Parts: sequence; C-alpha cells; structure tokens
Amino acid sequence: MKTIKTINKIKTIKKILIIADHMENNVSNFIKEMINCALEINKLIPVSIYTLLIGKNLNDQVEFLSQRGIHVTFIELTTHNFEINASILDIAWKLINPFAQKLKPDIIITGHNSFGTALLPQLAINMNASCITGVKKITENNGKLIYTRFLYNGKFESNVCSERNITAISILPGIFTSNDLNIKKTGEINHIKKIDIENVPITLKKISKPFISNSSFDNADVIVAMGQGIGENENIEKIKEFSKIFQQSTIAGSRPMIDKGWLPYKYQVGITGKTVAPIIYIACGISGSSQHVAGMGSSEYIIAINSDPNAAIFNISDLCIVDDIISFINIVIENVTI
Amino acid sequence: MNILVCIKQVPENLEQIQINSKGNGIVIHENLKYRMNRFDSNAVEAALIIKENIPDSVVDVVTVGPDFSESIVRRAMGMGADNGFIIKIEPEKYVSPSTTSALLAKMAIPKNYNLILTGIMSEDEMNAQTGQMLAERMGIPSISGVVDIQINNSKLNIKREREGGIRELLEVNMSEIKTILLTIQAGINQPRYPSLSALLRAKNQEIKIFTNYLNTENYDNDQYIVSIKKAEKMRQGKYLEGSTHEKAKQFIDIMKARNILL
Repeated sequence: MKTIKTINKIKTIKKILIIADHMENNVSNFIKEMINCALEINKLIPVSIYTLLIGKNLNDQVEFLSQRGIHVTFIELTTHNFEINASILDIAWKLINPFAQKLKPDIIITGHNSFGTALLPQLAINMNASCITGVKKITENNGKLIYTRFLYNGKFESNVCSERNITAISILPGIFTSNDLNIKKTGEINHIKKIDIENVPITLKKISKPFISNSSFDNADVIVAMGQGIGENENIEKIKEFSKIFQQSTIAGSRPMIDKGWLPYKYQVGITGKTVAPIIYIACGISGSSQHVAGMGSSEYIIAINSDPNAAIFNISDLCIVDDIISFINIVIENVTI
Repeated sequence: MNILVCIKQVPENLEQIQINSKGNGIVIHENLKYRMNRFDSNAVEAALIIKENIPDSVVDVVTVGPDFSESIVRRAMGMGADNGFIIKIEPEKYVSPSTTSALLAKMAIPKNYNLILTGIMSEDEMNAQTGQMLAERMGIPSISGVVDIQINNSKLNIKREREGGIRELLEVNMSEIKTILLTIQAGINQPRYPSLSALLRAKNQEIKIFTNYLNTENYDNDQYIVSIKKAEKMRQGKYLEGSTHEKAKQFIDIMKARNILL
C-alpha cells in the first residue's frame, strides 16, 4: 500500500506559475532567475512551468520564453483598455486573479521587488495560499519543499514550510542564476488581447526617474561603500579620503545613508538603488541586509570592515576585517600617504 | 481624518539575539530591549504630519504583540498619537503575517478609518506582507512603498517607489473611496523624538488591550518555521588577525598585490 502511495505522489506534476516582473514593457533579466528557480524546483519534484506576462509590445519576450519550453500567457494591454491610466501595479492583480484561479497552480513565483511585494500578499489571501517572501534557496525533505529566507537583516536565515495547497513565493533578486535556459522544447503561447479592466481608484499621473546623467559607478574599479556603522555624519569625509587612495574609485552608500540625507540618491547601492559589480567592493559599516547585497553581491572581490563580528556582510565577503572602522581607515591612510 | 497606524516591536540590538534551544525561534530573555520597527516610526510620523495639517484628525496606533509591546505604543502616543491599542498574543507564539493581518482586520473593520498606515516591512522578519494582506482582508485599495503623501482637499497625492529610483506619482480621490491603506517606505520623513513631558503624559494614558482576540476563526498561520540558524556563508572570507596596525598593514599589502593602490 505504502509503495503505491509514494509512486502516486511522485507522478503528480505540480504546476508552477511565474508572474514576470516588468517595467516599461520590458521583461527584465529577473525573469530568467525566476525560471531557473522553477527549474531548481523541477530537480526536487516534477513540475510544468507557466509564465504570465502583462504589458504592451512584449512579442519578442513571449517568443523567447516559448522557444525555451515555457508556456506563456500574454495579456496584452492595448491602447484602448489602457486608457484608464493606471500603474500596472494597481491593475495587475485584477488581471492575474481570474487566470490564476483557472490554472490552479501549486506554486506561484514572483520577484521580491516592488511588483511582487505589492501583488503577492493580496494574491495569497485571495487564493488561500501560503505566502513566503524573499526566498533565497529551495530544498526538499520527505516530499515537502523547504524555503529558506533571511531574517534580522541577513544575520539569520529560517527554513519555512507551506501549510497550504498553494504556495506563493517571491524570490530575492540576484540569487538564482540568470544563465540562459537550456530547454529544447516549445512552449504554448496563449495571447489574450481583449481584457476589460474595471476602474481602479488609483490614477497614475506621472512616472519620474532620478537624474543620474552618467553614474560614477560605471568607470569605477573600486567602490568604497558606507553604512550606518560608520557612526557620525562627519565620518563621511574620512570614508571619502579613504576611497581616494585607490585607483579608479568612487564612494557609495547603503539605503539608510540616503534616507538620513547623508548622501545623495545617486550613491545608493541595493535593491532600490544601483546594482554594481566592481573589481573591488569595500563595505565600511554595512550590515549586509539582503536588500543591499542584491545590489553588490556579484562584485569580484568583497572586503568588509565592521566592528560587529557577526554582521551578515562577512557571509558574502572575501576579506573580513573586524575592527573599528575609523581607527582602521586612519592607520591605512597614514601608511599609504607617507 | 481618522487614521490607524499599525506598528510592531523589534529587538533593539541585533547583536543580542540568540537562537532558542529548539532552533526554531529566538530567545526572549528578560533584558532583551525592544524598539519600534523603523518603517513603522516613519508611518507614525507620516500620520502625525497629516494630523497637524487636517483639523479634527485622530491618530490611533495598534500593535499585535505580547505585554512588553506596550512601550512602543506609549512611544507612539508620546510622539503625538491619540489612542493606543494592543492585540495581545503570547510572546513565544509564532504568528505569520496572514494571522497578524486577520487580527488587525478584526480590530479595524468596525472602526471608520479613512487611512491605514503600516511600515513596508518589519526589520526582524522582513516579510513585507502584513499591510498588503490587511488591505485585501478589508477589501480596500492599497499602495505599497510610499515615499511621499500630500493631501489637497479630497485628493491624496502619493509617490510610490519602484526599482532604480523610479517613482510613480499617483492620485487617489478620497471622495470615491472609504478607506485606503499605504505601506510606508523609509526615507519618507525623519520621525520626531517625543519630548519627556509628552512621554510622561503618554505613560498615564489608557491603552485598550484586546485579550483572547486570537481564536480558531482568525488563526491563519499559512506556514511554519522548521528551523532558524545563522545565515550561511556564501563566500569563505579570510579574516585578518592581529592589532589594528597589523591588520592595516596586511590590508595594504593585499591591495598592493591587486595593483589598485595609487
């Protein structure tokens, strides 16, 4: 009896629905990470993958995914029904819901960004799904999937299990590979053109972009970044001085530095700022939250200077210096400028 | 305008946190200090700014937490919130955002709030779910990741942060809807420090405590924590040893070897 049960369990193919993140009608690289995440799950339990795209002029992306064996549903927003002038964030949910209810996916994947953060919890409540956000790893134990996510600014991580038939997850950007997909099948394309969108009470008036003419990060080999751990506002000058001892260097900051108004936005590295990958990234007093790491984790060589020996930043660093940042920097500057 | 701000307590110092013996939660020892979640202090401040600009506004604050959550509610009242509420749960009990949002919905639905504010996420669990779930449970519109709120008559002008510094300017006509929920992103404001006299006054104000709020009807944990451990090392970093002087010397040598020192 028991053996038959197990076989039945293995034979069930689970459906994964990927709701692709997109802004300005361009599918980001992030979608490859979501598909690779689904393929990782496929190594643990057999799955079929469905993707949902919403937007305009996405035919190339639809084709791209289909050629790689992914079933794609493309909800095309024509000019006619886009007249309501709403942000995709405020209408996506209404468009996705009927489709998701019909497909009955076992797992829903979105990105852990402004799109996924807005959408997924609402979708989860509505579909009675378990909602697990900021996933960085997926493993399996006794046929159950275990999702690993960060806690406490990345210092700890928890292994979480779903207690619902449907599990809605958002994955951290930059964790799963974005390598091109190596599947030699063709996926079905389902093109939905006519969609009635009911009025939403939130009107999109304007989209504003930060003025970063040419980012100082582009030509930098060395980025010296600072976080809350540098202490006083006055220490910013010290970090600037420190950065100047390196060739082709620039400074950067983690989000709290920008929120406090200590550094202008153009220096922000992380999920909500710039993504950088210099030859050397020196993190001074940065705790290493997943939001920051998502913006610099693929730097070639990462150096962390922090007085907290348990700071999460050391988990992603090649060179770890546990010390008082300013005292350390002072000695380095002294010895270099002699 | 009737405003509700949902706040949460987080451990004051991350360095104090230890994993419990079962390996599925953190140790809640007596001298562990708590403070208000940073994003929630921004939400309280945002509510108080609105209260200052719109006459007859009332700001309520609520938290789902154990007894010792009282201090953050008092702090919010010291900052200027009018009424404080605690939906009591046991300290060791894990409640997922799904359950928390069900409890908050039970409290908020009978009241006529125009505006509900929460921080975008908590610094400890970092789920970024409770606010959006609460909106869905209440059947009200919501905007997450808000970095600016302006109110002009019945119009709400909101800036929402997207990736790469892109911001969406949104308009909500409040005469068309009853309630809207906003989740607040850091950087929207600098939360005020309550004055000593305000804190003392808040100390004597009544806080309404809801006990036995959590029942089988609204207990909705959608997930369980199998284990918690120190985060995995993604790179096996080399630690520099010795005095600060010795570490600085080694650092300079490594940088020279990599040809990046001027």
